[in-house]
Amino acid sequence: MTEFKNKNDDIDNLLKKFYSPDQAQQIKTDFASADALFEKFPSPNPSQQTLADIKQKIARQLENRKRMSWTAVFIKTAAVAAIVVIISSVMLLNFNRKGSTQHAKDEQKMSLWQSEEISTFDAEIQQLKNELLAINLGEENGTNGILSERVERLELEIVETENTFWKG
Amino acid sequence: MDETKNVIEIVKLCQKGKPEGFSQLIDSYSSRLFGYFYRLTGNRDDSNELLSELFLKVVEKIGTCRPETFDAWLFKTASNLFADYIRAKKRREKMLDQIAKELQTETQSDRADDDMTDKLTRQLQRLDGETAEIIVVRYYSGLSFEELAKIRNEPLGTCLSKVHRGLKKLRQLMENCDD
Repeated sequence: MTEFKNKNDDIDNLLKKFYSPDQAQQIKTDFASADALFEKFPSPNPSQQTLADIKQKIARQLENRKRMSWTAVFIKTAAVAAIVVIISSVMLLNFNRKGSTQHAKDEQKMSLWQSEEISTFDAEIQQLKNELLAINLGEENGTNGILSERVERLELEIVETENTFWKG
Repeated sequence: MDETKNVIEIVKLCQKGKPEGFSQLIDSYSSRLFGYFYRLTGNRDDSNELLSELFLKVVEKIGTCRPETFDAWLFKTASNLFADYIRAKKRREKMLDQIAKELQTETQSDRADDDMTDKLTRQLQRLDGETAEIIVVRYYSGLSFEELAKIRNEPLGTCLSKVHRGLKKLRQLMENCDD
């Protein structure tokens, strides 16, 4: 049976730091006699069976750890894939919703435009009807409605032409 | 120096999870560690169990150790494991005492219950736990006093004087025992 000695100590220097030379010498002797005691009564060795069992247990533990790490990688990959699928589905849904909203907005705009145009036409037709009715009733005297506007515009053009003529 | 380099290489292999690394580690350290546990427990079965538990812990935690200070880390782990063993043993003894009182029967303490225990181990068991532990760890770990003080979180002088007082006491016990 091999016994073990402290190999890393510079015991002389160490003892000098804490004790007087006489004390240091005594302590060194005490340490040596204690080491001799350990050598005189060596401890037994572990049995080969124990060591073989330990090696087997370690091999099993390492195997389990390897398997666990593969499982962990698989779980992590599956989790990442699931997250990617969820995110892309959400994005796709949003995109579709946006598209349909845009379409609805366009339709709304179109109908609004159509309704505005129609209402303008309605208003003009209504105005024309009123003027026609006024003419029929003999109320149109050139002071209101579309006719009056045209008369005013014509008068202004005549005045402008005259001015330009006289100015040369 | 070569031995240190060799240990570093073995530890690095273990950190990579190589079974051959652990196998080499067991071959290199099992005698010293078994000696450490045997001196403190006085029982081969307990020492075998502690040795096995220690190596499984090493497999689990070797990633946290620096290969350069492996010996200190290993014996610190062994020391912690032994402290856990002592706590569990005290609890067990307390429970057994209670049961014995209730049954009004005598129970024997399982301290140093290995018939083959040698004289040195028996006398070590008569020292207080801390003193026995520091003497044994110093001898079996091969650590310097500086390293020993570091793993025990105490000043160098304190560690030195504890070992010296413990060894003196052990020598007295050895001289005075009848074996």
